[in-house]
Amino acid sequence: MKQSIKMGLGIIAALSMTAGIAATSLADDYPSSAVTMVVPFPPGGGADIIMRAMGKELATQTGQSVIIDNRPGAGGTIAAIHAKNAKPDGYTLFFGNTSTHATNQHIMAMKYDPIADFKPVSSLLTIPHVLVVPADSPANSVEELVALADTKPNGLSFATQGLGAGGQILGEQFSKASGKNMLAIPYKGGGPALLDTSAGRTDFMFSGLAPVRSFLADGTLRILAVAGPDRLSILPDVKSMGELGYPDVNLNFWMAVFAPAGTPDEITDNIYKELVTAANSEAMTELVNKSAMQLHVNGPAALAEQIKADSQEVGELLKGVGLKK
Amino acid sequence: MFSDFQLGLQVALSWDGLLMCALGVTLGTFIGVLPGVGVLATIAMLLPVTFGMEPAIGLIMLAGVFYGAAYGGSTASILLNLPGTANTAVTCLDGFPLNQQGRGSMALFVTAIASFIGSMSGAIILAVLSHPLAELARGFGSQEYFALLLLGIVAASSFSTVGLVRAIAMTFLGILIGLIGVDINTGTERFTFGSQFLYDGMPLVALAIGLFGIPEVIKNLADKSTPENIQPHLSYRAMLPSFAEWKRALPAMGRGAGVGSVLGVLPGAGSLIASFVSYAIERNISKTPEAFGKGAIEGISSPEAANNAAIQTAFVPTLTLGVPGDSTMAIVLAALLVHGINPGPEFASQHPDIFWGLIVSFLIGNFLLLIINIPLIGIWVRLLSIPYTVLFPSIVVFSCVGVYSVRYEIIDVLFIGGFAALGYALRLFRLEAAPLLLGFVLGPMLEEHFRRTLLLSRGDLGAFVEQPISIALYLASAGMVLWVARNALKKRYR
Repeated sequence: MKQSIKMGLGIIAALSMTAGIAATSLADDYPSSAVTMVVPFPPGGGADIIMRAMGKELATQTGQSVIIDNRPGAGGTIAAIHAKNAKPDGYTLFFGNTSTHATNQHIMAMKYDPIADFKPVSSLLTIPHVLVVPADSPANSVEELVALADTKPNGLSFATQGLGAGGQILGEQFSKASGKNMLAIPYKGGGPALLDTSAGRTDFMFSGLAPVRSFLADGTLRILAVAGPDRLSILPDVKSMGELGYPDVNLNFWMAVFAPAGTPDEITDNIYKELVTAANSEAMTELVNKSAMQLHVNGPAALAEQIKADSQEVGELLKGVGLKK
Repeated sequence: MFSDFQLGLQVALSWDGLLMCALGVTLGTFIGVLPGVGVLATIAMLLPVTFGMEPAIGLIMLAGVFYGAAYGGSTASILLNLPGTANTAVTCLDGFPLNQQGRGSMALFVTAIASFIGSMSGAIILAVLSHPLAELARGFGSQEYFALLLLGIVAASSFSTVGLVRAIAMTFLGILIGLIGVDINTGTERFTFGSQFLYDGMPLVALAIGLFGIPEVIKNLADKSTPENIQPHLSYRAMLPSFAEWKRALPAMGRGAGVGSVLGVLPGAGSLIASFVSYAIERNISKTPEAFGKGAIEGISSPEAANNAAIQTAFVPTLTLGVPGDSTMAIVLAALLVHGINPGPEFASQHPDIFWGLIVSFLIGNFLLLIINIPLIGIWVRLLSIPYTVLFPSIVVFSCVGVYSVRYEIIDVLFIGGFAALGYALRLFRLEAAPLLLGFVLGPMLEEHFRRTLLLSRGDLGAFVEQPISIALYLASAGMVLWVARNALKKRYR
């Protein structure tokens, strides 16, 4: 009897050892086949183009191709569920963002847990936002825009790319910081929102820089400021909201790579290392600059911190305007 | 401008330009014929291929798939009552009855000509008037959109062959189904039953195919007698309309092209409203409105011309404002953005090679499409002589594959089943699916613009009648209602 228990323990020990060896060798070999990146946007969008280029870089580095799996819909929920249900072996990754990991939980009934279901790998990019007004707006500065709110009995209207989008969060931050009445007008995407702002139907909007450029070219929109604490190197003459006395108008819209929860550390560390190299490649820096985005590769710990901080901030803001569910 | 045009000629007539244009439109034709198999999926797969090409050449190819598919789109509508997109659902109304009369090849010929005339007018208008048209698009705010959508809804309700009340009821049913999904203003989910697959609403292609095509199959199976194949006339003579038919079809194509060119400029709803409104116009100005729904040649000529014209002028907001009308156009735009080329009002002068190269390729592409499509008619029509035991299962399989290819979710295939049951039930009660489809598409937009108007005016209803364009559109709606009422009364007291 004793003998058999000993033998049993021995077998267990032996088994767990081989399992341990198997796990390490799995991580060592990684990636030994194609890796799927689930993207919560339709093909052709800014995030999709960046991830396709990134995939190409990663493929040259690792010798394994990266398959882009576009699963748009339900504010990123369809993609998130698809990724979290995948085997946590590093062969399915998720290209999440501020919406999927910090905003959705405050505006919709969640079918995934942004913290428990995912393991943060690293942030990759941020999308700088600018404050634009219609060309014929009486406001020539942020100060004048704030003053304009007092001349209108109903306050100002600002267009947003949709409920909980970057433009709305920044607008609500602006409203709170200035203490003025500003009402968010949700659109279905940034295009129609910018078009209506350029026609003067709303008073201002916070938008990513890239889609604004055609409106700057035809002179129907003007940039008053850059959101956040710092100026942008591509717009050296435009003051930041931080400089102008609104340091709290600072939400940084980011896109980041996640693995399903339970993916071994060795594998996510490996992915992070590869991401750093790919992001700093010449092709990527050029594309990122052209797309008016910024590289922001910060690692798992910093990403986790960022999610926590952003989620809290967004939750409080949306609660303040009665949108929190 | 002439030197720019010459530059365009050089690009489009280059070896690569011609090859990619031909490749794009050929691919588009075949994709368009398959019901549901997304132009979207095709263009998405082709997008990475264009990264390595000259931007103008890549754009020529993607655009070719885009407008080429619109040519092919009417084929399944006419022969199988199976609309591949919402736009071609209107073509089913008179195209399918024509086919049942054995005149399918004539209907396909007429729609090819209508597509050609529409596309050419659209391309020329795009070339000449892109600036003023871009301003028209900018001039359309929520107040104007609301009035336009209302006109579309009135138009949809007006063209029933089985009675106004039934059509209005169907439009409203469509609006109700359209409201399933998240409310974009508050984030409230409506009738999604907690499913993320309903969060963005019911899938349009599943609805269109389920309501139109599959009930046709069920109906034929439900007939106790073994269905006989429609015997199409295969000679080239049978393809040609008579002189009297030409006289009715050509002006209708002209009107359709005009309506389509203008409405296509509006991002989002343009081409669909154009198809329905042009159909409603034809029906209301016709001396024989009772012929509509039973194979009126104007009923296929005008909407097809409108649909194709609108697809060409849809490039106006994409290229000059950077606002693509739908997700397919967004990918076409992406083919430019990856090369660091930004759309803008000065697009035509800053990138004359791309803009004019594209325009010239449109002209070439449309000729190619005509050359490809007319000989194909014979082949498509012959498909109808496939025995029903083979044809029907194939239709169902192709429909399911097409719907699945939109977002690769199996639940969408189940939705086809549900809508097929609904579609068959509607048939039994002699209710029509076309107004339902239009209500489904326009209803949510109507709500979006209604609420945005009120948000911007902070609840002041007066905002709806502030704008001259809105007032004109309301008057047009009212005029249409009165006209329909007049015709109905005349019929009753005759």
